[in-house]
Amino acid sequence: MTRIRVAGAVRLAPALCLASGVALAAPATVQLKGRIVGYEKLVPEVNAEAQRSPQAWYSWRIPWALRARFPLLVSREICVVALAATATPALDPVLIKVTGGRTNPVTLVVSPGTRIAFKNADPFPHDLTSGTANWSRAIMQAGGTREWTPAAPGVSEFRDDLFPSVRTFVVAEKNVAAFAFPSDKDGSFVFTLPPGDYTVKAYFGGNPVGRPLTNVTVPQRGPAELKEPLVVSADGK
Amino acid sequence: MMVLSRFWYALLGLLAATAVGFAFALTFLYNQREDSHNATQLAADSQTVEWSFKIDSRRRLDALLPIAVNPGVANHTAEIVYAAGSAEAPKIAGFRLELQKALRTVSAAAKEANGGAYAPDVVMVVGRDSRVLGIERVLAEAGRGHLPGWFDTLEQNPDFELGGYFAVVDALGGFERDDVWQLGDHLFLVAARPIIAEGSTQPIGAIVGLKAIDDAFVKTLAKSTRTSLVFFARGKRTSAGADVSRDPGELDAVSDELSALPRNPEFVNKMRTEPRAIRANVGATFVRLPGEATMAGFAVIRQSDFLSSPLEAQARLPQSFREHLPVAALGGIAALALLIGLLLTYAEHTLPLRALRRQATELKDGDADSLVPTKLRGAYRDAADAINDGIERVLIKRGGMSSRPADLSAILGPAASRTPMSAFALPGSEPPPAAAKTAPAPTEPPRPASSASSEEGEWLRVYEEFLDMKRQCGEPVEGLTFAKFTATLRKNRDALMSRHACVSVRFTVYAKEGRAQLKASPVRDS
Repeated sequence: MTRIRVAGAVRLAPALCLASGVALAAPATVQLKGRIVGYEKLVPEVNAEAQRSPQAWYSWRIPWALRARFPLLVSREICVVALAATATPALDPVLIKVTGGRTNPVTLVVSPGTRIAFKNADPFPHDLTSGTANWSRAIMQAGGTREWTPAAPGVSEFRDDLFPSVRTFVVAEKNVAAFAFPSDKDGSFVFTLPPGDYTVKAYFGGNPVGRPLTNVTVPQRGPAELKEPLVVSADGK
Repeated sequence: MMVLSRFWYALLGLLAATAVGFAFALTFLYNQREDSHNATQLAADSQTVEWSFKIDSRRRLDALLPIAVNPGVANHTAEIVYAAGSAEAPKIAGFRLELQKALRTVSAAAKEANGGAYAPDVVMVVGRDSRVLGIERVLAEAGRGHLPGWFDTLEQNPDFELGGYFAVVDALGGFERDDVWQLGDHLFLVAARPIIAEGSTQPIGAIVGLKAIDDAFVKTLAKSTRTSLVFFARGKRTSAGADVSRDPGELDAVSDELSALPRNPEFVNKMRTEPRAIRANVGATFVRLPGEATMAGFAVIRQSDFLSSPLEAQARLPQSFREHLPVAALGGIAALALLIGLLLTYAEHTLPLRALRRQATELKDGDADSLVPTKLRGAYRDAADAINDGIERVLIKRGGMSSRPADLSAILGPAASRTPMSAFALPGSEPPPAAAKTAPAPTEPPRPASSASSEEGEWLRVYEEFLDMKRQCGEPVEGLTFAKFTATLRKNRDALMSRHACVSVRFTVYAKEGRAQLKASPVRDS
């Protein structure tokens, strides 16, 4: 049996076999809880671009709610990572679902060598394109899956030639020990980590965002909790 | 010479050529105007369709309002969204059933509003977490809409979401908005509105209405805009329709053009192309639809009504024109032209021929020994001269006495070597003195005093006739007095009488090569 980590939950899949987003043969792990704040004003670049050329995107767009604002789903858009002091091995294979005009998650941060599986969860084709290495263009039929592995550190962007709202970022970082996606309800997130010192960092739109938390120590016994929230606003305040 | 007749024929030919050329010029101008008109009309048609499409989108947004503000839909949506991740989670399935029931009830009402003109084929409720919470077929279920088969699988697909599409993001953010989506091979006109639960200022979800842009939709749009339309996405035709007044064959004309559109800067950047000919008589303009289906759009097609020739114009003239055609005036002009031609032909052809025939009859009846060329004109005069010469030649050949007047030229020498008086000069005679050229015009000759001088009377007649002929030929008559004239005739008469042993000589006047000439005819019997 293979377990594929999917957008903050763990699901079973027949082909891949790894534990949650933690390296194999890890020692006893401890839960580290935290929370992000300051994400209310974040707007994905693809949505901002669409607003800059309205004539190309719609005929009518009229505010209806009393306080219209961008409905950011942090569970899809923001990826929080715990970076170890030393390089980490590849993480569990990760599944990215393509559906609903975007991918789930939109931003993913993993260590190089982590296998990524893109699955078309829509009942119609998608055409993911990327300038990254080891990726060739091919139509993904409904239910189809494509795998790709980032070989080296860097940011890889994936777009869908059929759906312009789809823009996905896979960031390969050397020392990623674990990643998590905050809750849409309150921005909380949970890491499962071996004891040690970490830096907790958030990524949005393929780029680091906010002020990272450094010297975060995971004790031998848990659970542990971050003393302060991770601020992810653009100005870091 | 028939100068006027020939001029008339040339004039008629010129007029006919001008009329034909004018007809071709008018045909060219008509085709040019038709081409220009077509381009203008295409631009106008595309604007009309674009605005009609926008108005349709606006009305579809309005048609969703009763569903979006329905308390049942809003409350059950809120129940599902709030229950997720909470202790109420086990109740979500029940909440979804309640939502579906409320959605069905309110959709049925929307289906009947305005005869379902702007109702969607399907509505979907999307929760704040972008998951699809409910799907209800509106027109599709009633058989008045079309949905691809994969719609039937959506309810069994737990992963299916809509929250990433710009329109849904905006609706979840509090905006009502339209869009165009391409899902698979199908284009959909999308209307999305926020669902706001009671007591909240932020949307709890969104209601999304999809209307398939299929042939039925396009036909309705084409009928209301009186156009021929082809909708396409990514170089492939998705649907088409034409107003009944248009030729359905026009719709196939754009097929070859579609694949190049995604690389056309006008289409991509300016959202529309200039009207252009895509076939000899078919023009089209391509308009990009605003929306997430970025390379989707529609083509407005128009067939030009070119004339292949002026004859085609005649065939296409409406009955009303034929009824107002001034047939009498045109017939009158044609009859007048014919009459003028006949008159000119009569004057220049029939009358001289008749004179020649009369002289020929007189010749045949013995009333004359020869034709009188001076009474004929042009080619008939030449013909009369030739006939006279022929008669003479036959007479001499048969050994008879020539009845023809002796050729004075033969006696007096070649005319070219003589002065204006040379027709009367005997060979070797002196040319008239230079003073003669400035001599006054001949005075009236003295009339013969008695019948004894009948020959003088005859010469007087010949003299006057000779003067007339010289004037007709444009020759000067100054210095040609009757005395000089009779002296010359006398010498001439004497020479001939001695040569031919005749009793007298008769002189006649004629013109040759544009000069007045005299001929002397020996007379054997008195």
